[in-house]
Amino acid sequence: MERYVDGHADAFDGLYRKLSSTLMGYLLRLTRNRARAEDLLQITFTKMHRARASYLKGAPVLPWAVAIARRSFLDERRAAAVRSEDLSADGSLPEPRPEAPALPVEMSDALEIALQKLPESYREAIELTKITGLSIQEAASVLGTTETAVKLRVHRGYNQLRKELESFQRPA
Amino acid sequence: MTQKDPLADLPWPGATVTPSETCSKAIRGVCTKSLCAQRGISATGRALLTLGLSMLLLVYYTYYAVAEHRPSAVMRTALLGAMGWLGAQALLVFVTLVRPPGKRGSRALRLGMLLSVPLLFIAYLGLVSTEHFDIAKFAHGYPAGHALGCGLIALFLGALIAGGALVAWRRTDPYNPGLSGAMIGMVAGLASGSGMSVACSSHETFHSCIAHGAIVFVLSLAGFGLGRRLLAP
Repeated sequence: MERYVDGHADAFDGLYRKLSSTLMGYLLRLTRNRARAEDLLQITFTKMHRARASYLKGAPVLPWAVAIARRSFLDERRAAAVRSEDLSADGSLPEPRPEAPALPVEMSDALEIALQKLPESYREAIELTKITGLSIQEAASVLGTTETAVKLRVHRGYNQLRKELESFQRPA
Repeated sequence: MTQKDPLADLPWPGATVTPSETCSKAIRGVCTKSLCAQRGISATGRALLTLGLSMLLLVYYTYYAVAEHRPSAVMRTALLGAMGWLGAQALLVFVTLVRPPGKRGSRALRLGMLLSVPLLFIAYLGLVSTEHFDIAKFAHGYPAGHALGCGLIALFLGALIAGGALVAWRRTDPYNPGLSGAMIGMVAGLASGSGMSVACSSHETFHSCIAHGAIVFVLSLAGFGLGRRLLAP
């Protein structure tokens, strides 16, 4: 990051290689829409580019980038909430988004559905720590809360996931 | 017989997804176009700038007090107090803003400071005030009008300091910009409130607590709102 701040384009390539797929995975999980996730990825990197002079030396880069991505997502969601629905070119309303499959066929599907059923705060805490790979302290910073709160959310989220998945594993 | 924990070997979804080539190309284009070294001032530099603004305000208030021939004994006490609060501001800035985001004091600590420091400041103003009016006497006529005028001036000068400091710390905190903004607002409020005690002709308890003390809360609140816009990258 510091070489990028110093103006080395090759350092940006290294940074991009290191961060892009993790951020894309995180944004895709938040948006569940590849086009929106790619838009947000571009916004995130543009914000990082603009803020590179303000990057405080010594700050860990991944949580910093994840926090910017999360804030970009929240801003976009807030803006979308007050925006009226766009009509398509022929004047009709857009097609509704496809729903998640109702009946899971495999464990991974069941997990995906169970994760989506969790309250947002639990899901975010689990995704940041279990999937994105941040430490509890880093996840607490990203979520703007305490480490204890993150541990509590992960624990409660796990309990709910366990219940959901037990019902999936139980033979019919 | 123990039941198998269904979370033990879960097929967690992959953390990484490769973005499309078009997307990567667009990002590289924006982020490497005419890329040059852009090293901003360090966190310590920003902190010193913030404290420098506070100091400048205190110098202005002191100059005003001297020009207006305020009683020297009262002015000296207020000036010593203001210097003490400048030290407190330095402590607040270095503990809650200078360290990289994510390594600063915990959120609970910062929230606690946001509530307790203004209360301590108001208590200090109450203690050092040399006059005390009855509330009815204060609320009617000149004392209330004077407090309003004094409060507005302190608020305006504090807002200038807060604005300057927010610009100095711009885009440095993606984690909790509102809280950092509130800390900056509180520091500016302390600078203006304690400085105003040096320059003000009134050392009455209600006047000090309301006109010089309450602005710390107002500026903290304003800092919270502005920080969310200015301090997030």
